[in-house]
Amino acid sequence: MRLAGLAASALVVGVVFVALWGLVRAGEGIDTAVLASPYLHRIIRFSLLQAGLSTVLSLLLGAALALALLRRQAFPGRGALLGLLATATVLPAVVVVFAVVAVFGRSGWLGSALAALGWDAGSWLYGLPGILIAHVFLNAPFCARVYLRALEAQPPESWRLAAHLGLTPAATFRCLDAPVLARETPALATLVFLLCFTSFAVVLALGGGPDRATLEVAIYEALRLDADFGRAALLSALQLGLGGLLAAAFVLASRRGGESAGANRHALRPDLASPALRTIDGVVLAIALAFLAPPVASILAGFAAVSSLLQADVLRAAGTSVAIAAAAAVTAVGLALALALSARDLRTRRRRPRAAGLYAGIAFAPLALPPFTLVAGLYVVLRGHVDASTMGVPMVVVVNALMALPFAMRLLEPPLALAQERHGRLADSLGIDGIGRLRLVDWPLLRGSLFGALATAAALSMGDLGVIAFFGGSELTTLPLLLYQRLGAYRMEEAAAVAMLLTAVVFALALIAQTGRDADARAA
Amino acid sequence: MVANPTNLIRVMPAEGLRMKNQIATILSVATRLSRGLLASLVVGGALVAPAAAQDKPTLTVHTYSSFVGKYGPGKALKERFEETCGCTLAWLTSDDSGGILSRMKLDGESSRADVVLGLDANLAGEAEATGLLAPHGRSLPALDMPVAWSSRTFVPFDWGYLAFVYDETKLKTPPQSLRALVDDPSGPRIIVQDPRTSAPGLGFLLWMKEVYGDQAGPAWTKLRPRIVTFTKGWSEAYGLFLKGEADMVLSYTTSPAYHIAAEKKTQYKAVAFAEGNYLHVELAAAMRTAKQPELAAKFIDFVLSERFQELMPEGNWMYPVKTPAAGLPASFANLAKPAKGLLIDFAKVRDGRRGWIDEWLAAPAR
Repeated sequence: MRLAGLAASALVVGVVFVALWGLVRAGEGIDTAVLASPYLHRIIRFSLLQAGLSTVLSLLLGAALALALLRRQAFPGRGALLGLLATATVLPAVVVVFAVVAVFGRSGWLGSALAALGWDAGSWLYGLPGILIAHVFLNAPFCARVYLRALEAQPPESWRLAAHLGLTPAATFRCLDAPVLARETPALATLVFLLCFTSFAVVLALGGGPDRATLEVAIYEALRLDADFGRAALLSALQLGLGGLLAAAFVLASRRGGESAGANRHALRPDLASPALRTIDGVVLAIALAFLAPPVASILAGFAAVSSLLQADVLRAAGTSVAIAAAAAVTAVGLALALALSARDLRTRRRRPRAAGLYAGIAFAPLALPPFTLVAGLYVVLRGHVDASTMGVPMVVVVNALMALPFAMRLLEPPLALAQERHGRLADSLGIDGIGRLRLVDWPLLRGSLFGALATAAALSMGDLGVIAFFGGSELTTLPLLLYQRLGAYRMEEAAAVAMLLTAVVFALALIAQTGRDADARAA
Repeated sequence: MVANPTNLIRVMPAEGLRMKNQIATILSVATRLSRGLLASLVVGGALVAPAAAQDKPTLTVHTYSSFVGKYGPGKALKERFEETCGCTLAWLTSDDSGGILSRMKLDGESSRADVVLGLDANLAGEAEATGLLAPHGRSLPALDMPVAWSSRTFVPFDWGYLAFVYDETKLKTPPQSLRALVDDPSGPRIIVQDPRTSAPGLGFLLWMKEVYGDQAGPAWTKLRPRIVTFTKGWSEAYGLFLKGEADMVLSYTTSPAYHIAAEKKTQYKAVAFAEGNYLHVELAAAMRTAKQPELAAKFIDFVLSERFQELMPEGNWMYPVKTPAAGLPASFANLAKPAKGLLIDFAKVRDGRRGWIDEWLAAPAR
């Protein structure tokens, strides 16, 4: 296991540094004066603010939603809501912008409803409100999924005990749920913060002003408008450094371990009957549904041009997207497993939690670097060795896999920790190790989350535009790239149809993963 | 990616479903995947040799992807050029003009491209400064453009006016000049593109500079309250406008031609401003490092020929630099006609751009 972990982290760190080095080499020197620019400080301050607020709101809504879903195991539409959660996270930025505007915009559903009541709210959306809405829409669902999985792993014994002791719902939350949420929060917060801190098209489109930008915008400008690769590398390194500080804070704050045994979620919690809690859960579910469903539903408007999907280039792009997504998902999950297993090994058997945290932190690195920096830097280095025309597909796969890696980690770490807690000592005493341990001890608990991680990684890759934009073209086109080409050709309705297809595929992936997981839970 | 609306479109019949093709493509992607993965793992090792031996020489043209996309003129142009050149035309694509520049510079001397097609005039200064482009070495014929063209490196192949587009069923009296737009505090709300990330966005920044000179900063401050947002690219801006988020959007005078020709909608109009409208000019140039310099020269000739130019109006929704003998298509008949086309010399843009963007960034929003 240790070797696999070392190899995986070497790959991640290597790719990041090779990319930066490639850009520095392609540039004509680095002028660090730019770091003192007040403009840069303004956008960093604003990025910290919006990313911080987005993270807090996403975590709060995610946690509330996870608790409500945990306590209400059977209500009509629960499965669809879970599918919705998996879908929102991975949509391309332009689709999210249009979806948010279709609901909350001046002429959107909300705006029209308000106008019908004689109230013109104007362009209130553009600025912090729009950015936060879009970011919470993107991230709260993923938080909810991670929290829910962790909460579901609570042992039924604790609940029985809680019922026995007659704990109030508030005490149940404090003693049972809160520790689980607290355990998952540092890593999840890091992930969400990085995503919002490096958000680009969403922040510009909904931000409303030049200062509502991120470092990513400045890097893009340096790379493309100025073709000043030294500056692009410097700013990328700055972003990586800021991300690294955050990940380090996470390593220090993270206290994984101490999971209790048990993964049966059919036992009854003592707080299910509380009428107050029933009301709260109902309200939370209603809010979540009202917030998440309309933007996704607005994408269904693409149905108007559904016949345009039966074109050769759409089907070809769909095939390419699926092939790339499948390869990227397998790669991402493989890397995540290697890192997570090594981290667990270091934490529990070698008693080196800091080193374990380092492995977990490394997984975040690809998120702190803009995708266009990664591909441009790698391209420069590989260009001399690999024919540029054969480089596209593997590069897209590898970089997409790296960007999905932190998501896969979040889904795979909890079940691995649980397996260790349940069977670790027994396995140690029996001397079960390596692959055998993975197969015999971890696999039964891991299987369900593995489906979810594969589906999430595949979906993220399906939605990627940043990487494919560099390598794509007439010969290599994915659905998001096609969507952009349609938009660029005024074909808004055909673009909407492509967005709908993309959303449908991702939704289907989520449902399949969920079904696999449920079947698994029943079998267990 | 800055999708360029100008990079467009000929309506083609739906090609229908070709299952065999699909399977073949998926298989080839899978093969390429495995081959490529292997290749990328064995960096520096012996590698897959691409493509079979060819008897015909290949001319590689570097352009933006929507130019060769389904609705772009690329496919027809390739066929037309190959009829006479005795060669194969291969496309190398980047996502847009900024992508072309960036890729050119990343590739440096070892670029595969023989010709670049689709650099935006506002980036021409940077592109020329790379030293990677060759002079075109000819005296250009008189071009049908609002400005004189004297570059020794670049040959323009199409152009258009930037303009604010509106829906006349919703906005009855659009401002007739840039100053009227800037000065009227209760004027229409607009969406523009971000000059840091988008070609038309940069064009609008230069437009403001050309009209207001030293006073561009205060003019931005005056206009800012009515700018709904600055988007990353043209697509987001135009999409938000069509969804009703603003009264006007920065696009091109030729945008209404698309709505007339493809959608039979006549309510979209563009405004010709009294000060003149800033130009968007797209350029071709041969690479100094071209492996096929004769073919590259031949292609530059082809760019100025009728057979290339006649595809620009409804293929790329832009004006040709040589009006075809048959004239412009009907959809172009009633477009807004600005009195003047504005264009700042590209060397000046190169020197001034950083400062002008800073001026825009520093303009306080009231």
